[in-house]
Amino acid sequence: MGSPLKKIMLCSSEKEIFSVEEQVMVQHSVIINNMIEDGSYNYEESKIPLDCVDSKTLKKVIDYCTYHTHHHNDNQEDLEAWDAQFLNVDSNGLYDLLMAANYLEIRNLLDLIYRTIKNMIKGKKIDEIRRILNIKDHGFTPEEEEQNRKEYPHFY
Amino acid sequence: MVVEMHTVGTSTWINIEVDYPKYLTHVFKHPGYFNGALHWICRDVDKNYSIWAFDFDTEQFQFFSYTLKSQGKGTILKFRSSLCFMYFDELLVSMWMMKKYGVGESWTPIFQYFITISQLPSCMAYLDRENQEFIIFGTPWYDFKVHGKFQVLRHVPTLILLKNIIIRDNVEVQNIYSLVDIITDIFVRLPIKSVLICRCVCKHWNTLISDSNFAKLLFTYTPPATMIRDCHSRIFHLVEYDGIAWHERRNNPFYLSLFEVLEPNNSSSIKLHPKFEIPLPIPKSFQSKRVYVHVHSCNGLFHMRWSIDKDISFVCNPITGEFIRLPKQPPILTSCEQISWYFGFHPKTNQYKVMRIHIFKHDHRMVVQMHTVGTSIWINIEVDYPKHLTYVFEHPTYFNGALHWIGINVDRNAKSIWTFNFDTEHFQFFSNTPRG
Repeated sequence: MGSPLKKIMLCSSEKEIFSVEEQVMVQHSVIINNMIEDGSYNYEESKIPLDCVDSKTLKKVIDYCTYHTHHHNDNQEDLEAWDAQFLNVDSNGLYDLLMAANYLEIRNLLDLIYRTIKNMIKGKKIDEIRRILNIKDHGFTPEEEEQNRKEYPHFY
Repeated sequence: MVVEMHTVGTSTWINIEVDYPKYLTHVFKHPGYFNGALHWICRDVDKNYSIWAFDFDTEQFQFFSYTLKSQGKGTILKFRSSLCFMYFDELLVSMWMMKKYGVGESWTPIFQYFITISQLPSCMAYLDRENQEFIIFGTPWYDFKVHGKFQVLRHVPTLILLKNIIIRDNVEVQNIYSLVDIITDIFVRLPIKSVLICRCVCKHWNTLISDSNFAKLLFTYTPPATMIRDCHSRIFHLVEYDGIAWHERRNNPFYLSLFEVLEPNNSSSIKLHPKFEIPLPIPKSFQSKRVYVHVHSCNGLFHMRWSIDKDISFVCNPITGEFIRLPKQPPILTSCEQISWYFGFHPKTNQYKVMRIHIFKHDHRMVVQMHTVGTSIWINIEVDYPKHLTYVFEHPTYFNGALHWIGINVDRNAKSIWTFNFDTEHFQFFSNTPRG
């Protein structure tokens, strides 16, 4: 664990540099915590390249980690309200966040996204799920699709 | 000597049998690959060293000269398109190059380091001053030795795709970075009905959900739920536990709601939605009467019997709708006093068993009929019924490969544990239960 005021640099896929309090990232991301702990991060020169995270997503990830670092004592309902607002994004945005959280191993953000996706799927029928998750090519042959529709008409 | 060889991407190992040369006393481990062949250092009875090569093309072994005056302890490796030999003697690590392949006289020294064996690393760096190159050598005899808390090995990073080395279609390439884990992480949190729906959302999800490993994983996550059936109907309803719904209803006990929902025109917020049909037709004459179904459940599978037709029994998975009709049990001609059923799983053999136990107290006999699900027969096991036992409780418990019943002895105060072992297929008295 580094001192709270130290900053580290994160570099998005567009090569945009984000400067973040070390503590914020170390607390949330297993990967960054490991990097700092094993000493492979050099405060003068290093920036952590996150080639699979674009600037828009990285900014959101940093927002999430920052908010949860500074507001972890807030009451549960306020945090949940903030999280709900935070994840009010379209399915592509959610997918990008999921990939970023998975890559950086941010456990609580991953759980939040899992829960959100779960609630998007739960109780929905097939056509709705395809629309919500923007699944255009389902990959079934017309015959298989026909068969499924016949077999499980109440799922559609 | 037998060489077992597997070509990666195929599904078999082949055996190559070779005569082991009589004069060889020792072959050092860790061969080195060079020009299509593996090379070992070996020692003969006169303590001379030679090189022994296995050619992947001809699949044959061959010797050639060595003539290096050293201990043979070391490894062969390729360096600058030549065969090299790296070895260590007490305090010295040396590397020699065989400038002309197969010619013992062409060995040329490359470098020497003085180190102690305990310092011997799994990788060594060598600065070639002539070519201004920094070269890292792996020392295979230490490749997988862990140094303190570290495991170090020489590695050349590569982008070779495993799908390009696959020869047979039935070999599967998996990838730990693929999305599979993320998606399954979401699926295992869903209620079972949504999982069934997801199976039809897209082909990719269908493949994931239909995988037997996913079924196993899902089972470890799925909390117990409740199945309810109106006794006049063939439909079972599943009431699943939903953390959020329970939280909202925390002031309204669930058990009340459970009976509410069975009422017609109920206004309860719980809907018995997922419906599963049991694969037993209700005969016309019974249609307005209550019909009881004997159900034994194990790992989410049901063994079911109709109370109206004792000969028909099924094993089914109510969720997927699959079912197997079991063969008829051989009839028991004499009347018996106690019949108990059991449906269970024996993890050691991965088999599901249905058992029917008949007890004939008057002639101290007991017959166990056992059916392994997926076979077509019932087997009979006949056992003497212990004289001092007056009654056996119906519901056994599976533990450690055996079923355990509680029996009541003639001496009314004494209870004993009675076990049936699936491996030996024997009954056994186990111990008395604690008194009290």
